Amino acid sequence: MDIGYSALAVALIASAISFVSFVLYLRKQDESQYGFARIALVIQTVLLTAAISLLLYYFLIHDFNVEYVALYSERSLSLEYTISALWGGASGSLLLWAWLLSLFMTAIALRERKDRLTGYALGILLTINIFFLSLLVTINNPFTRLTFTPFDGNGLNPLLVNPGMLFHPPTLFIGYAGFTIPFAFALAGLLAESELWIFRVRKWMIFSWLFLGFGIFLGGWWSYTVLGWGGYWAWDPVENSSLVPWLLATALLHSVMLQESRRAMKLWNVLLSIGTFATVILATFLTRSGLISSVHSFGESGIGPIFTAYLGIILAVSLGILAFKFDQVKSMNVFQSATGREASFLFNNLLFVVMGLTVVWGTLFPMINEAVTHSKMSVGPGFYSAIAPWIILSLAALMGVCIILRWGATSTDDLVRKLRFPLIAGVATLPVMYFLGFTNPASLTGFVVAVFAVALHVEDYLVDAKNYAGKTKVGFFRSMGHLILVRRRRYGGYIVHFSMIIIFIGLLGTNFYETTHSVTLQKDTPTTVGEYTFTFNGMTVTQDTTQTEYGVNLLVSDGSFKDQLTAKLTNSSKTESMIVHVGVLSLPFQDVYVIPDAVDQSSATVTINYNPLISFVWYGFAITFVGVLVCLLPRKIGGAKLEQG
Amino acid sequence: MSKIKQMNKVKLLAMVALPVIFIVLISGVFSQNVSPYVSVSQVKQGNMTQRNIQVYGQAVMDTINYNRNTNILTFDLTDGNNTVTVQYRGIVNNLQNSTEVVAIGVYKGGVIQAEKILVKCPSKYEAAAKEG
Repeated sequence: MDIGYSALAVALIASAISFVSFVLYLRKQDESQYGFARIALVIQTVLLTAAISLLLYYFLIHDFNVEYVALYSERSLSLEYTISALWGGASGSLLLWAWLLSLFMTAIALRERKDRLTGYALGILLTINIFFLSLLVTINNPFTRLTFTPFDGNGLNPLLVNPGMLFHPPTLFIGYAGFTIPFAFALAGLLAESELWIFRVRKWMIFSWLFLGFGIFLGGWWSYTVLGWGGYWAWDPVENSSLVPWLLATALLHSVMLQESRRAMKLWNVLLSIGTFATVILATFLTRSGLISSVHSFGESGIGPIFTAYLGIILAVSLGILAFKFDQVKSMNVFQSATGREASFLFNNLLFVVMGLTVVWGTLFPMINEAVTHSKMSVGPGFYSAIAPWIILSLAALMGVCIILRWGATSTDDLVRKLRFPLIAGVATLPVMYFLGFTNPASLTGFVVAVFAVALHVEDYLVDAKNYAGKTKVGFFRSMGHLILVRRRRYGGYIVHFSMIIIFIGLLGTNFYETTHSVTLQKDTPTTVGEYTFTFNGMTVTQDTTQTEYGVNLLVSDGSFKDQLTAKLTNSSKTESMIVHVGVLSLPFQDVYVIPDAVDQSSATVTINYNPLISFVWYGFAITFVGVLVCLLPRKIGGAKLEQG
Repeated sequence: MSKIKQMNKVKLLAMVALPVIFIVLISGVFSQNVSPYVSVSQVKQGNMTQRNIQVYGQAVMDTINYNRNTNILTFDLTDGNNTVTVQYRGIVNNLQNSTEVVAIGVYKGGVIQAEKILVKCPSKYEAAAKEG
C-alpha cells in the first residue's frame, strides 16, 4: 500500500472524527468539542495536502509504477505539463477537489466566528468532504500501483498540452469547491435558525464566483486557441455544465442582497444555494462520467451512478431540511412597484434562472430522452443561441437601469431626468456604428443597449461624485476615488456590471462580424485577404524526439503597420497525430486568427478569420477582477476613515 | 391595502405568465434544434435528411485523405457493419489518434458533409488503462 493512500485513509478518518465532534458540539453545546473538531479538521487538511504533494512528487520523479502517473504523463513532458497532468484524469481531479474543499473548510474554521451556525456549516461541508475522500480510497485511488513498472508513461493527450490545461481546471475547481459554502451555510442557517448565514457567506461567495467565472473564461480562451473545439464557446455539454452553476450563483449573489437589506427572498435564497451546489456536483460528474457525448468527456470512469445517487441524496436531504424548517424562510413581501429596485433584482433572478434552466434542459435532454425512448438525440447549439441573446440583451439593459432605481418605487420624474441623457447617447450610437460598418440590425440593437447602459453608469458616477465633492469639500477627482472606497459594495458591483457590458460588446462583434477566408499563400508573394496583406515567409521545421513542428511564418501588414504571426502544425511521433496550433495576432479592435491547413516550403494553405471586438472580452474580464477586488476590500482599508472624514 | 393586492397581482403575473410564455417560446426553438444522434448503419438505413445529424463511428485510418488544393478532408466512418464517407473542409485535430468520431452535418448522396467533427481522443488513454 502506498503511503499516499494511507494519508488519504487517515484523512478520511480525521474527517469523520471532526464531523462527529461537530455533531456532539451542536447537540451538547460542549465548547471543547468544537475545538477538538477543528483540530481534526486541520489534521485532515494537512494529510490531504501531503497526499496531493506526494502525487505531484511521483509525477515529477516519473514514478511510472503509480498507475495514475503512468497514464497521464511521460518522460518527455515538460515540467509545467507534468504538474498539470495531476488533474489529467478523474482520480487526480477528485483529489484536487477534495483538497481545495478542505482548504476552504480550514479557512472557515479559522476565520469565522465559533458558533452553532459555523458548526452546522462545517459539519455539512465535512459530509461532502467525506464523500470525496470515500471515492478516493475506494474506486478512484490515485495511488494505485501497477504490478510492473513501465519504462515510460502514456503521456498527456496532445490537446491538453496547452497553457489552458495549467490554469483552467484548478481555477474552475476553486469555484466549484467554493460553492459548497453557500450551500452549507444556507442549510446551517435553517438548522441553527439564524439568518446570519447571509452575511457570513458573502465574501466566500464573491471569491468563488470570480474563480468560477474566470475558470469558464479560461476554458473559452483555451478553446479559442485550440482548433476544433469551435471557437471560444460551442454550447458543448461540458461547457454548459460549468455555466449553469455560474448562472445560478450569479442569481444568488443578487438575491442575497434582497435578504440582507429587505429580509425578502429567504426561501428563494436557500433554493438557489442548493441549486448551485447540485449543479456543481452535476458538472463534476458530467465531465467525468462519459454519460454525455462531448469533445471534453474524458472517458467513462464508472463514477456516474455513484454521483447520480449522491446528487439524489443531496437534493432529498437538503429539501427535507428545508421542509422541516419551513417556518424559517417566511419572507415579507417587499415588491411594491415595478420601478422599485426590488423588482430589478427579481428580473435579474428570473433571467439568470431561466437561462440556467434552459441550459440544464438542453444538456440533460439527450440523457433523459435516451432513458425514456432508447433513441439518441442531440441538442444543437442553435437552441441556445436562439435564447441566449435575448437574455443577455435584457441583462445588459437591466444592468444599466438598475442603477437609477430606488428601494420601494422610483418616481416618474426621477426616471425621466436620469434616463434622458443615456437614452440620447444610446440612440446616437446608431448612426456612428452604422457608418463604422456595423450594419447588422440585431447587433445595432445590442450596441445601442450597451452604450445606453454604459452612459447610465457614467452619469450615476459623475453625479454621485459631484454631490460628494459638494458635501465633503474634497476635489471632484478625489471624490471619484473616495466614492469607490466609501461605497465599495455599490461601486464594486457596478464596476462588475460595467465590465459585463464591455464583454457584451465583444460578444456582439465576434458573433455578428466574424469573417472567414480560405486562401493558399505562395512563398514571398504578398496576398491581400480582406483588410490585411499576408506574406508567407516560409516554413520552419523543428524536430525533437516527441514531435515534428511545422511553423507557418506570416507577415501581416496593412498601410500603417507590420507584424509577424506564426501558426503551427505539430505531428506527434508517438501517435502520428496532427495537431493544429492557430496563430493569433491581437490588435486593439480585432483578432487576426490564422488556422494552418497545410504547408510546404513553397506555399501555405490557411484559413484566416477576423474576429472584431473580441479584445473587449479580454478587457472586460480584466475589469471584472478590479470590480470584485473592490467588493472584497476589507473595511479596514481606507473606507471607515473616509466615511468619518 | 388595495395597492398591495395590486402588486401581488404583478408579482403573480411575473411568476406565472413569464415562465409560461418562455416555455412556449423555447419549446418551439427546441424542437427545431433537436437532431438524431445515430450510428453509421442507421444513417445508411434511415432516411436522414435533416440538417445537423450527428453520426458516430470510428475513422478508418488508412482512408484519411486530405486534398491540399481543395482543402477537403475525406475519411471513412465505420461502425463495424457499415461504412460511410465523410467530407470536411479543413483538417481535424487528433483524427489519426481517435477512438470515436462524431461527424455533424448533412447526409447527401451517400456522403456525410460535415460542418463539424468531434474527435474523442483523450478517452483513448483511459480506455487503454481499462483494457490493460
